[in-house]
Amino acid sequence: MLTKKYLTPITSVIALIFALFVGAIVIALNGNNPIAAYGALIEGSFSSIPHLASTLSIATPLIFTGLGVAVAFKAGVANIGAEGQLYMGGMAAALIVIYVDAPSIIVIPLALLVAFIVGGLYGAVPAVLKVKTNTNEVVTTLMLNYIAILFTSYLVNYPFKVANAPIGMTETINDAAKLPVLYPGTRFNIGFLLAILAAVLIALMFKHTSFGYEMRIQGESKVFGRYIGINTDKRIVQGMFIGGGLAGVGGAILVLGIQYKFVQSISPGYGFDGLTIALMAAFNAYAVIPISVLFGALRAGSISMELNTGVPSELSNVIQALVILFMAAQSTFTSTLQDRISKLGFRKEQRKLNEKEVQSE
Amino acid sequence: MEKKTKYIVEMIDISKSFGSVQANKNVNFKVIDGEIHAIIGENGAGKTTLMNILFGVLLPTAGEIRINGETVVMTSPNKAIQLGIGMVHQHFELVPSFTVAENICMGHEPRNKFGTVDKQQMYNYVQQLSEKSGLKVDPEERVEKLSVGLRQRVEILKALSRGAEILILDEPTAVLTPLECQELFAVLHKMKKQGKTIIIITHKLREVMEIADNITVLSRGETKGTLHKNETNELELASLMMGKTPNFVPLNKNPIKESEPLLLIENLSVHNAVGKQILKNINFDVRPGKILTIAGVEGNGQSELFDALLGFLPLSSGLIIAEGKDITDSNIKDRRSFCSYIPEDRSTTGLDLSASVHDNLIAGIHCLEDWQRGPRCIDYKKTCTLAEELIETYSIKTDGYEIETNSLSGGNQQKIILAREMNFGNKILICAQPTRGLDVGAARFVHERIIEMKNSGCAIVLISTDLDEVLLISDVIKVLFEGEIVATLSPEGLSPEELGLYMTGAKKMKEGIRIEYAN
Repeated sequence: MLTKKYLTPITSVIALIFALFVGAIVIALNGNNPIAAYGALIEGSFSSIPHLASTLSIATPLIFTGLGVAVAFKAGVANIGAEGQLYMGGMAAALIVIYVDAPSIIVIPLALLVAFIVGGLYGAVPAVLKVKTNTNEVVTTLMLNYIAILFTSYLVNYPFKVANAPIGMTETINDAAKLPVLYPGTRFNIGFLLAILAAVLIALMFKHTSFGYEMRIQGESKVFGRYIGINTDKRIVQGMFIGGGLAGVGGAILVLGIQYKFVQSISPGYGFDGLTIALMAAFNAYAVIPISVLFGALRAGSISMELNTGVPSELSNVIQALVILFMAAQSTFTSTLQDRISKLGFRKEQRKLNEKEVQSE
Repeated sequence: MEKKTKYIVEMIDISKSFGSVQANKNVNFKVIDGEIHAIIGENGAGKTTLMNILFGVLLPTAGEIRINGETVVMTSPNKAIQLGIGMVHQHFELVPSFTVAENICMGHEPRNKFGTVDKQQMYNYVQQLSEKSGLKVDPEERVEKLSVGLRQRVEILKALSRGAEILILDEPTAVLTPLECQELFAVLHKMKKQGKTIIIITHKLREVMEIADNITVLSRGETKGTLHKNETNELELASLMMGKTPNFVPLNKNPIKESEPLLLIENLSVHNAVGKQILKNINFDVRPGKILTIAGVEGNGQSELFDALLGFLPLSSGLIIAEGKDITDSNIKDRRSFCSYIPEDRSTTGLDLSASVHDNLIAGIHCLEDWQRGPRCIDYKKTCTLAEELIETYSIKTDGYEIETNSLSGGNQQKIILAREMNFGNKILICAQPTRGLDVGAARFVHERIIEMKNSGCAIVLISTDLDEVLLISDVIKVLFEGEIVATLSPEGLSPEELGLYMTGAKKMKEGIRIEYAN
């Protein structure tokens, strides 16, 4: 029987197929060949090792934000603030590597750790507000995004601005602070491996530890969690701290591995993509990885699609928006589907019965 | 010579399966026009499924439904309503902020010439309907202000206003006080006299014998037969329901040895969020091997008492002392090392329905060192073995411990709570309405386990509204009325009627003297 549990990944795939299909119509209406456009999209994201490297390096921060959102949701908090947590973490990492002159082995872990803590604290703020004053976290996390984006923008435009730069940015970081590159000639770096490691650790935490069990159980049912003796307030804040921390590390990897500096508006919405990814993954840490790679491919491939076929790269945004739309239709869709299936079965039975009656007459 | 009986409802060879679970298996069910027909069976026997099929909520996998002799396909509740069938669900479907009349007329409101709702006509209509059927309600009162019993009347009126000739009531007495039950039965008799057909789902045998004409017994999704009230008795019905003759000997109670109380409650008072006092100076103590029952009609502070003992609600004053230790200010986790708790609301408080049976069984021990290994990881090998053992010992019907708890029947869900709470090995058990909504077999199982704990020297607090339960297993009965303990009674020689008088506040006892109030 199709249960809700099994339907979530299926509907994610169906949502994606629908989105690609509607995207194709949009391309065709613009007078382009959808097959050629999607061909270029795939070519630009998977066709060669450099292309694949660029897909995976975009996927890296997405895995972190996706995990950040997933952990928070599992703990029962709707974290819409991964974008802001990413900015704060990225800024913190940039400042560490600019002011701490030390060998890679010290400065990189330090920067990542500080990014985790800063992103985590920034995530913990709405969680504390939620447990202490019952504030709706959807509102607070959403608003904190703009505060973080504008605050970091102020920092790189005034106190830490590099002279003569066209837009607000910090100075370029030392070579020692740059994340080791995995494939020469690209910026595909060890951040990707860290992202995989993070996903595995999160999955293990939920599956095996008492802490993860408590986090998950109270996230599913707060009243039951309290009744069984779990300190639900503490777990909510911890869940948001871990979630915010992961998003913060995503920001650090953007700074240390891709941009080599903190630029204003450093993220083109990776935090919000993380929300979509987490939802599509049904908050499963492992599932976050392939979906992030897919989203990375959309972003990486859309540029060569624009170059080769003239279809604007914004199409990838359209497709992502459509995925969200079709995901949102999921609950209605699945219930109608189940209803239809059961009614079909019933009609068949009825028809059989009728046939039998006719035969016996 | 034989008079042909006119069946108003015929359900022939109905089968319904949900995936691999077969809820109904070739069920045959016939209702005579104008009778009160009871469907009885244990939880999970398929009673509600059968009625949902009749009302068009569910489609059968196979089978035929005839209404007034004509074959129909019930595709939706609307179709059922057109055919004159009304259903009152166990959980009411009313808009609390709307008035009684608005709820009843919703969807078919009388209109005036401007096309807007004609309130006066609506209230008059509901008034007339209410008087005609004997279901007295104030049409202009908001539903949120009504008691559960009155809300049920509104539901019945709603069905009648849609022209229902056949009325299905799903567990109507589960939420009612004894007095409200009597009123409901009187109304049902009146409706029967007016020619309506009533189908009532229940598992309370006493009620069945009181109200029904014919009784259909379901067991494990199959019909065990339809019997006339005069041709059967409670014992026969119970044995049909459970598939074996139940053992109705009184539960074994061990003599009580006097010793120090395990649980001591002193001057406990609780105020709600708006400052109203809900519990006033509650005092009691429970000694080892004793069951102390807090009896009372729902809404007199029982839920708050449980929540205060668990630690959900802060005390305004008072002390809670367990095994000689003051736990008044302890958190829930610390309280749980002394006390086990069976909550009233099993689906939201007692269980995480979306988690697996295993995860529900190990809640509470998941954080104990005995059940961990490595870096504070749960020792799954150990906990899975435990889950298997508990499923076996408490005969929880499930397809394994990895199944989502949601898919189990109410009785089996309650067994999970029971298994978990008793497995802690605490000396104190605090349980609220532990058998509510359970069938005879499951309720008896729960009672036996509680008596077992008592016999092993545990102190038990039972919060209950069920008169039979209170009289069956208590050692001491304290009656809670409007937040105060109004009487301390012994179950020996106490009649249900007398207990009922205390519970409804008609009788009070102060300092050991019974005070009777003129009524």
